[in-house]
Amino acid sequence: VSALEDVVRCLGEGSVLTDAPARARMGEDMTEAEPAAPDAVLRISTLEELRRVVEVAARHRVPLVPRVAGTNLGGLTIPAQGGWTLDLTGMNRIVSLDAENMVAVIEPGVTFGQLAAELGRLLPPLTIGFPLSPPETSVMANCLLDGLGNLSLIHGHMGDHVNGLEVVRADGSLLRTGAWALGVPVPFSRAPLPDLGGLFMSFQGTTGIVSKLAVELWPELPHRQRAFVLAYDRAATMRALRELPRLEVLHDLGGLSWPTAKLLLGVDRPREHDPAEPEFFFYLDWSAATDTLLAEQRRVITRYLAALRAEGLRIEDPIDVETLVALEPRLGRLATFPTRLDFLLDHPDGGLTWVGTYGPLSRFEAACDEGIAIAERHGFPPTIVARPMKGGHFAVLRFIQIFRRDDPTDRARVRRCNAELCDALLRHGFVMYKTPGWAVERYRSRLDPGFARLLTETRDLLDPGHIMNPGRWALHQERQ
Amino acid sequence: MPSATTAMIIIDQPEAMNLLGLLLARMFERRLAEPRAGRHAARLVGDVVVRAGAMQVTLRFSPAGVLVTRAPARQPIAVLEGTLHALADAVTSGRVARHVRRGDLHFRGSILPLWHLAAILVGAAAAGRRDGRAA
Repeated sequence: VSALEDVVRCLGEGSVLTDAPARARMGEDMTEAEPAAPDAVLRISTLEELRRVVEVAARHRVPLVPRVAGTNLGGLTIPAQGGWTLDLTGMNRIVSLDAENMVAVIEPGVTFGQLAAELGRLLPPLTIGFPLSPPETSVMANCLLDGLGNLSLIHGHMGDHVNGLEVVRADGSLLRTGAWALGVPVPFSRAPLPDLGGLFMSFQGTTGIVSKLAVELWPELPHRQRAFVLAYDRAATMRALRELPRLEVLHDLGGLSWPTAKLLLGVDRPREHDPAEPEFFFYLDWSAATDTLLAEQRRVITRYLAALRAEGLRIEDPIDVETLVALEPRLGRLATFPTRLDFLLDHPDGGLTWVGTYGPLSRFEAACDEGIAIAERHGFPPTIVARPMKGGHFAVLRFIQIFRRDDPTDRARVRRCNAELCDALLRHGFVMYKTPGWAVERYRSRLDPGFARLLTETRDLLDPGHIMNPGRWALHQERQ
Repeated sequence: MPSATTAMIIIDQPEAMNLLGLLLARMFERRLAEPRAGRHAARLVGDVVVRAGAMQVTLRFSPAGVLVTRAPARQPIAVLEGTLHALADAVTSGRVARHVRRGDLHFRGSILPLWHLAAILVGAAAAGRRDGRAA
């Protein structure tokens, strides 16, 4: 019996797609990564189906690539060695929503849009960190890949919000991590047992396929305000991003550079920065239990900004998002979460990629300066997202490139730019998250040898047949 | 009398236009689709300078429409100046007079063009709130 016949027996013919269009759809993303179609696309709807498919794949040594929305920007779900792409969008149950303990247990296909709708029905309302990505994005994927969200200023990257995992291992067996491993009814924390959850975080599906994830929820306070601040120079921006978290009044803070504003306003190819216009704009969110407290928080923020102005930094007072949306309804896309960033995702040039890094706030300005010079040298406007994380313990610095995806010359240009950005940002201490394969190659020679060896041994232990998303975190040539 | 529907908003070199010009262009685009604002715009001929913070744009009104450009104005018929914060609030809330009284906004120029300009801007408040709710 062939592998395909075996899996058709498990799932039924209707859930095994081998036609070229279906395979092609699963073999590409928005990035410069070369498309590579899987041999088949398997639609998985239940845990039992998932386990049986993994058993079949292990028996026949067929590579498996888990995928939900495919909205990550690292080519992480493009099969490196063919095999089967597991379409997990059908595993989309919110298994439990425990308002009392503020934890949700979800399957891989649960999207931010779906979870937001459910959370909105709770009284009092709870929320989750929403990334700047479309509503169809998988909550689990963003957590497992240590992505970020709008609560990351306070609570860190979303991997930190994970309390426990249920994982299908490479032989089809099942395990649970965190306090959940003891069979406790509420997956309240990854502590105090040894944290085996780390074996599956940011491993990009190379150690197992997570079938359930327990994720922390947070109170949604009744009074909240989102506002934007225009900063006319980089110095003001970087200083505010470093210092504002320490006021402990904000629950979200981020800086976007001038090309982002122009893209939002409908300019497809922003080219020139008027020296008189703001170089960055920040978004600030604050919230409180009462109106009075909310107003006091605003006073703290405006006093801080006035102090910066008194020192000669060019930065304006906050403009409430309601005012901006009334001025230009398109700006509403940054007002509520989850949001659809159509100006990036549906850009006529079709290609979207980034070098997204985490690094120290103290090196923000130097890294930003060098990154801007690199982007401009390669002919890209410096489209930057910058935000402090976890109270200012580290920061995100992300350079976004829009390019003509159907043009090989432009894809080559973006590859050169990204490679240079990756190296330069690393010199400043900034490390790529959702690390694409091409970045792993660049990191390989720089990684601590002990780390690289243990990582490889861990993968060999957990996936002796090398069927789990091979080609990702390929630290040794033979594993590619 | 020129029809409001003939009014066109053209951005001179959109790739190089500053944030102020882009915001104003979008606002005028929506405003001038309304007949009343269109009639006010049709009575404006000449250059209006808008300065917000350090940004500056010229709104070149003609019977054909409005050109938003970073080129210097040719004998401006009106100048509107203030912080972007004040300008945004005035346009969205309609509280133009309040910002003028506070000194956050300054108007200079001939009375008639200023009156037409103010009519377009103040009307933008209601339209903006309506669009904002729909967004």
